[in-house]
Amino acid sequence: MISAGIGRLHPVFVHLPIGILLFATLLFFVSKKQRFANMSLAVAPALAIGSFFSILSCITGYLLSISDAYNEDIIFKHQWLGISTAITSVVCYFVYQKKRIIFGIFITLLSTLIMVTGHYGGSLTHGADYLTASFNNSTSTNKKVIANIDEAVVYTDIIEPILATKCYSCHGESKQKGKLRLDLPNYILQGGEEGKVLTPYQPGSSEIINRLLLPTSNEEHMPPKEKPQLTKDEVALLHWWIESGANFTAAVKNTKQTAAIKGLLASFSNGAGSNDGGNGDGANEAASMLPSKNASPIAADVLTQLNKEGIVVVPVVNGSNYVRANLIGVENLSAQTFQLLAKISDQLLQLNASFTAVKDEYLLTLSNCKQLKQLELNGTAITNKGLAQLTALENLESLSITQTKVTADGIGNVSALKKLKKVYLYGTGFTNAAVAALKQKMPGLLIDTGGYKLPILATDTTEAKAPEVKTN
Amino acid sequence: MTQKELHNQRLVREAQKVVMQQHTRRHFIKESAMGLGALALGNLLGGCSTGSNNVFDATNPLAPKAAPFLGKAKSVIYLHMAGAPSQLEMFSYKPELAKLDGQDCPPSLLNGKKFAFIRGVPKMLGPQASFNRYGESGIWVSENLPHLSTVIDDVAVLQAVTTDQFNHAPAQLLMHTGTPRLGRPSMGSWVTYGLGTENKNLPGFVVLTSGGNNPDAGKSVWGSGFLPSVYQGVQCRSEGDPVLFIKDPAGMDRDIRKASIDAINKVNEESYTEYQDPETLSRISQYELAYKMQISVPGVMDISTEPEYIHEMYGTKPGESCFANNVLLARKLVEKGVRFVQLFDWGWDTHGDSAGNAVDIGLKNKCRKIDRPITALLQDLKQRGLLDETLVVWGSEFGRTPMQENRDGKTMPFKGRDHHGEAFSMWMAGGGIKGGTTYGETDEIGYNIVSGKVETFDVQATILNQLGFDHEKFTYESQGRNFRLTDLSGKVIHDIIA
Repeated sequence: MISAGIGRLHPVFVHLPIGILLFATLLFFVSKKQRFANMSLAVAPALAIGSFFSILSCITGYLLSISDAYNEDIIFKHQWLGISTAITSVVCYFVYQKKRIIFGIFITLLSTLIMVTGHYGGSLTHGADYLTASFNNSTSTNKKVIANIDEAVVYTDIIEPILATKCYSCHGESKQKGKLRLDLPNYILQGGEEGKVLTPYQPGSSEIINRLLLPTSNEEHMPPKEKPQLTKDEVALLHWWIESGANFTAAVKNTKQTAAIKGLLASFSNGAGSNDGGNGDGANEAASMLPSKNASPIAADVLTQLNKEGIVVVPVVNGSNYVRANLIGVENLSAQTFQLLAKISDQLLQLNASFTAVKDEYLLTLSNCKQLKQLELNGTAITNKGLAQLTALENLESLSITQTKVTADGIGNVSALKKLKKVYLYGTGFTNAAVAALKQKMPGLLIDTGGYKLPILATDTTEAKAPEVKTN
Repeated sequence: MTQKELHNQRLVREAQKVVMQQHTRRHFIKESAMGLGALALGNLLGGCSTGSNNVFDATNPLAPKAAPFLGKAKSVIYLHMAGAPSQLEMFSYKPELAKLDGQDCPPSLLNGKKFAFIRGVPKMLGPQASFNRYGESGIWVSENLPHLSTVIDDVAVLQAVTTDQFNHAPAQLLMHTGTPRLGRPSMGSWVTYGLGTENKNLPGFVVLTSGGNNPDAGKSVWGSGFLPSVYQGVQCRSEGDPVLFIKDPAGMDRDIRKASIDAINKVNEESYTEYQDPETLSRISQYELAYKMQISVPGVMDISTEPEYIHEMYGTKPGESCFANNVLLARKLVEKGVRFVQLFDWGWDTHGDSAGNAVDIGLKNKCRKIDRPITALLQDLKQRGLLDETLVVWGSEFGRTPMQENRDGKTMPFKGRDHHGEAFSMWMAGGGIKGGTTYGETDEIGYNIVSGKVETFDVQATILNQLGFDHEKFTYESQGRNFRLTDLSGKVIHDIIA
């Protein structure tokens, strides 16, 4: 027990030789410059102190290694490299006293050893991929896009990535806190030193779920409060997986889903990413609005060209390549300017061309904008002819053509837009018959013809008066 | 000593001096800092990529930006009734209170409470308006709002909003800036900072006031606080010049104006190259915006060009300064891409000290002035397809007591109510809000909250949520720490979101 306690001081001591010996290296090379020659005086004492602490680190490190479970391969390398470092530092001290000419080689060797040893030490505590993790996408967006969620395997595609980002660093190949490994199915079923961690079909009596649900202030809570926590969604998915039997090969479609789980699963298919921290508001709403596949980014020169003409182009949401375009800042909209929109036809999701000089014939440009969901053409000179040009917009959900010259004859064209949910016709030449006909063809369509009137009430024209005030 | 020896001696001394200068402590620290700095740099650069998209671009501070997630609302019209209207005569139906009318207030309601004006034991005051249920949702609305009751199915009423401030100015600041003290950015500034504006010829945040006075908290309630000053609200007027001092003075034509602005901007640019103060760039862009506004603002602010049908609907009278005109302007501005339109209507402080401040007289008249235009606004936004993406918020800084005010312990000449922060009503509509809902409940006299408590921060969090922001992550660094609009509180009111 005492030895384990001393072993735990390893992290305290280990950083001293690293700092001191590297500082000695620095001093040695700097002191070669005439200006800093007097710094050479400090090299020997620094080497002496550094050697002392490196020996101490070796002893504490050894005690730590026998008291806890670590990846044997890495611990072997770390241990022997550490011992080599300690020996080299002592050798360096004596070489510095005697033979300064070859000292440079020794001290270079020493600092290399320190770095390599340190790297393996870091791999032991933080996980082998800690250093590179920030390059291969951060841990916060661990959700990968799954094209066909129904065919996906629950464990491999949904559960394993969660465990990998949030659990493996302590319960994986390189470290097994509490003798528990979660990186392979047989280890997961085997459990740790306190027994099994999960009971299939019974998430309530599965230790893994219980630990996740404990308040973070509880010592038993997992992951430890200073480590990245699982999001509510991730816990829900784990719960669902265990509830459905903790099967390692079952596909999503063969696993029973509640409405809440369906919503979470849907967000996988569009790469909305899990919303770590915060309260996750709105993340799922975003998922339902955007097309499932992100578009290719708009070329920089195209953007410059659009901006130059006064066309405002903004991503519909941060990180998406789909955009909303607004022509409100375009003075004297010309056919050429409008045709620029063809260059962003793959990305255009919303277009506001209200109150511009857009003409019927311009609208042909939009027929390639297959993703377009919202189109506003209020207060323009659009006629039935223009409206007929829009029939190719297969994804259009909302169309505003208020105060335009569209007439009752043209409104029927709207029925070609299969996905349309809302159409705004206030101030057009619609007739009730035309609207009724459209309604019959598309019963789910919300048709707002406006023209709301407020009756003139007595309260609109009169003022409440004070009653005769009694004077005593 | 010969001349040459003297010269050599001086050379040696100078050389020594130079060496000494090179070996000062400062020099050593400076040199080593360079080395350490270089080591740290790699780390710092790695951290850079985590920054949000809300990096302030001083050259184009109002450029439109994407929200962190897909919000339902693109713009906000916030109608603030300055002075605190009585919830008990508008949205909060309390039949039990009518039974208590004229009785002494029980001590349980008074113990440990501090009121703005009530002293001693006041009398209870029953509702001074009759209520009915309206719409499919059956929400209770008072007879004071006959038009609004017809569109109540589009509205989500918050019945249990609370504040800890009982004076107008601090309460208004709390509602709009997140603190009762001065110095924080207002909601409109935050939103404009986060989203910019899609119309480069108009300000992103416009303020319109009516009722004869500015709100008690003054212009700080639409100030930009520690955000760059370009994000502060621009106050416009519906009467006379829409923006004060924007017209060119007599004898100055637009070309000369342009030339002078160009000259000033050139000087400012030089100043920026020298001092690198981003506020200088803000100033340049503000001059340019003001120049553009000379053309764009008179057009958009002119309601006389609206058809007669619209005037009848809103009850507007072109040329006057009134709430109805401001409401119509708000619709026009939103239609033209303005991000945040903030209306303040003054005159709701119904203490009962005069007929105009009586809950059964003055309040009714104030309601009549807002009822028609607000209803028209909701209908007009709807018929233009704008209600889905425009969040309309109605509210005030606090509510009013179920007791009749007895200022200084005396009986008041008219029926009035004192300031009451514990519970009051607000509503939201459009912009992804679930219409026809009520949220929160107060006790049977509307004094305390029973359930569904909503703090001012929750209102702010919900508004930001509808625009696509997580209020906990939408921050700006000032004085060494990150600030947010909701500071350390705020929960999105999910129950009223569609």
